Amino acid sequence: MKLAFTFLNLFSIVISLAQTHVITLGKGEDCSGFNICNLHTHTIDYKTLPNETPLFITTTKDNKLQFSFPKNKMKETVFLKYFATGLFILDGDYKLPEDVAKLFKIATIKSGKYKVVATADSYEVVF
Amino acid sequence: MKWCSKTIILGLICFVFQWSSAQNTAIPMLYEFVIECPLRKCDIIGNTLDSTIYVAPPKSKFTLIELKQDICIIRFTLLNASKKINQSNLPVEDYSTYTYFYITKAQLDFKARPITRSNLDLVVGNVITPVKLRFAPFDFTKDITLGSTFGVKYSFAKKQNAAVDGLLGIGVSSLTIDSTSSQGKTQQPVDLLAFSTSLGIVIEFGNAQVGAFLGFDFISNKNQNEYNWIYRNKPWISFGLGYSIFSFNIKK
Repeated sequence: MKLAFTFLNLFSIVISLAQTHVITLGKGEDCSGFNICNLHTHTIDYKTLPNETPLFITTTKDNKLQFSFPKNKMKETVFLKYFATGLFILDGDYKLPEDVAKLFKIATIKSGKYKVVATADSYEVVF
Repeated sequence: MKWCSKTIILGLICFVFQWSSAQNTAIPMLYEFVIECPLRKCDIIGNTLDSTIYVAPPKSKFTLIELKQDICIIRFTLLNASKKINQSNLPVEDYSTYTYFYITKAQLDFKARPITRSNLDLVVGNVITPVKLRFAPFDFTKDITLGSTFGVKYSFAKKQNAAVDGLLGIGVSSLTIDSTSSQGKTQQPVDLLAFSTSLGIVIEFGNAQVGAFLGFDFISNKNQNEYNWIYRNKPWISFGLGYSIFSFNIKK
């Protein structure tokens, strides 16, 4: 019983540290620029938008926010526009949603150009 | 003698052209788009997968997978090293996740440029120095030197189309010796062949080039005894300014 409880506890910690979210890239009402339009928790029946792609949000060892975008879920148009140059561009500060900010204790992502690192199965950006 | 000189010069030109064309067959693997470029999705052998036209943004880097007649099969490559590119710095990726696209050969030529793997490259090519300045006494002549040049090219990281080349050249020159340059030993101008060596520096910015060469011409002892050429063992200087005046082939 104790073992099962410990396992559940560990599982919940892992889940909370790497949650699946969906990000809509872009800016403004039409989500056409270089920023984050929307960031919300992944749900099964979410509506797929052109600039939308799933991601895992974690933090690095030095407590920096890290977005991991699975390659196999990313549309070519999203990759070409936002990742192909090797730089993820935020043209303005982005205020994280309350649940994400609370979970990772980071309120805002500063504007700038962030390096995109390719791993075997994802593209990673550390802010 | 004149027939022999012409044969040697013609042979040298043929050798240089043959060497240059042989070096051109090496295709650099990594490229970067300099301007947005339309492309289509395909499989690894170039079969179109859908009719959507995608657009690659400027500065996106890609690997050329295959050149098939008029189409180039590419895949995008994210480089973990921003300045110097080494094979060991390329990310380890699962090849089954690769997405391939194709562009035309014309798009590769005009919308993309090869990415150099380091700031230093070896260059070989041919340089023609049409005018030479000679000193003590000052003179300028049209003694044309044809020859092979090799050296090192340093490309500036921030301005990738700017570079400095340090070059060493050897070749054959056609000299005209007259009564002044032979101290009266010949009254009629005489054409002679000379062996030439030179050191040069070329500054490149895009296709514009500025170059300066310092060299020596050596004529045979027999000709020296006969004509007493006054510029023996004296350096000449040659300058060049223009659009692609020196042609090089880059050997990585």
